[in-house]
Amino acid sequence: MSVMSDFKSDLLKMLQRPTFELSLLEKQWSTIEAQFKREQIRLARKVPINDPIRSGVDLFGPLDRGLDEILHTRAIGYLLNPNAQHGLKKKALTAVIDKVKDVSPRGVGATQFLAILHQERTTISVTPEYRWRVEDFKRTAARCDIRIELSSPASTALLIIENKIRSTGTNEQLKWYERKANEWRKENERGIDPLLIYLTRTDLQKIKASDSKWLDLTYIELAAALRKVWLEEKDGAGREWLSLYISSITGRVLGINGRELTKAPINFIETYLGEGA
Amino acid sequence: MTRHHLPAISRELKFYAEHSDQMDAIWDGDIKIDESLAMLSDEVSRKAEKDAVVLLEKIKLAVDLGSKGLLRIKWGRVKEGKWEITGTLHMPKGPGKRLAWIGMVIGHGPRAGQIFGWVYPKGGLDGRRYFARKCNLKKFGVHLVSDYTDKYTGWDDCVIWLKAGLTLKTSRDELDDEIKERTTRFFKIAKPLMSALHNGRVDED
Repeated sequence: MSVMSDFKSDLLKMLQRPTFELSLLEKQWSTIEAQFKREQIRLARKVPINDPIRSGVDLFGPLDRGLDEILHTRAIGYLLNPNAQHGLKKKALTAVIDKVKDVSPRGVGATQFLAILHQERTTISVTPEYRWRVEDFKRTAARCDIRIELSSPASTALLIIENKIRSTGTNEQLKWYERKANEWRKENERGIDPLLIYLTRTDLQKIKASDSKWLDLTYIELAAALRKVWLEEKDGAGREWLSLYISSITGRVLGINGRELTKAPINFIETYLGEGA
Repeated sequence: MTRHHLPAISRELKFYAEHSDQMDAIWDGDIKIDESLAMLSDEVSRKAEKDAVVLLEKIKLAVDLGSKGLLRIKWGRVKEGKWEITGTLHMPKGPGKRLAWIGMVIGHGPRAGQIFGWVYPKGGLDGRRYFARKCNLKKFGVHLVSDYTDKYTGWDDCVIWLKAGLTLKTSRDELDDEIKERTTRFFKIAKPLMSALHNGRVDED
């Protein structure tokens, strides 16, 4: 009995022992931590004092709607709409598509989209919460988060953004939007392949399927794209609003404390600063 | 006979939970350190991730046992690297309409050393406040994330109903028992409240 007990006790001790890798790592950890801290301080110093990420004020926090998907969809739709009164014209839309092109290895369609966007006679329509009639016994309507249609004398383009803050979109839902986009392509002879963007809070929500037509974009990448516009646009009427929205993303969606940037995850600040990092 | 308690967490899980920001940065290559150290760190991260999945499966089982006969949970898949399992709550019988969302989280970073259980009942912010008030009146302590934003940065505004310590001394059996017991107590109170919120029939006091 006592032999068995000793055996169990030894087994337990063995289980509680750190692995060889952890023992070695623990010995060196203080050096790694010091290096990490230096990098955090270096990056935080690169963020200007008046940068939106440092602002403690944002749009949705005081309303207790920091993670409200519909409000974020509306805000993004507003900024991406060149016809809205913010005065940013096509800048926000261009910056976001540019970012998608940079971050998504499959972002080829983005180049064509940008070419049409920059044509002088292109008309742009942005519809947040776009409703589709569904011939399905389960539902009568489906909404995609943002639908943007471009139309120039020579060609047309369609962009669909699916915004997911909380959960992950079901494959079924994304496939359905994809099918609708393809139907649009068939109806529009001058149309280019639709651009589909899947906007998520974290990398973990990204679509893993390699054959997916959706291009991933995370909220920190969106914030980086919008910040670029904020830096360029010194006098636009909507600059202040844009700043508050960027702050809503960094503070509320991503949980970055603007007053303690030296504690923010390195990859967030690097992505946010872009090439400047 | 002496009972030998298996620990609920490994040293690797504890270490990762306490240093997740740094180890994630090393994993993603955002910080350049000596290659052999990076390999060590990645190896420890891998082991911690695996241990976290095993622990979440155990937690899921304990919650299922605790909720037996009270509410039915449809869990999602436990994903490596997520440190959280989420699901939806339904009545044990009937059409299976979703009453609320539920999640169990292994804390890391500033929340290392703790396990959290949250629910997200229907009815918006008013509904959540009503739910929390009623639970607290029945002597079951819960709180809203929005009342402690500094402690839960980046979290949805859900209702926290379980917060249990997780140290190297916590045994698996003790943790199972604690989660099971707390789940039963909580769901007994939560079930009628969630149902009322779902049907939009709340009694204001």
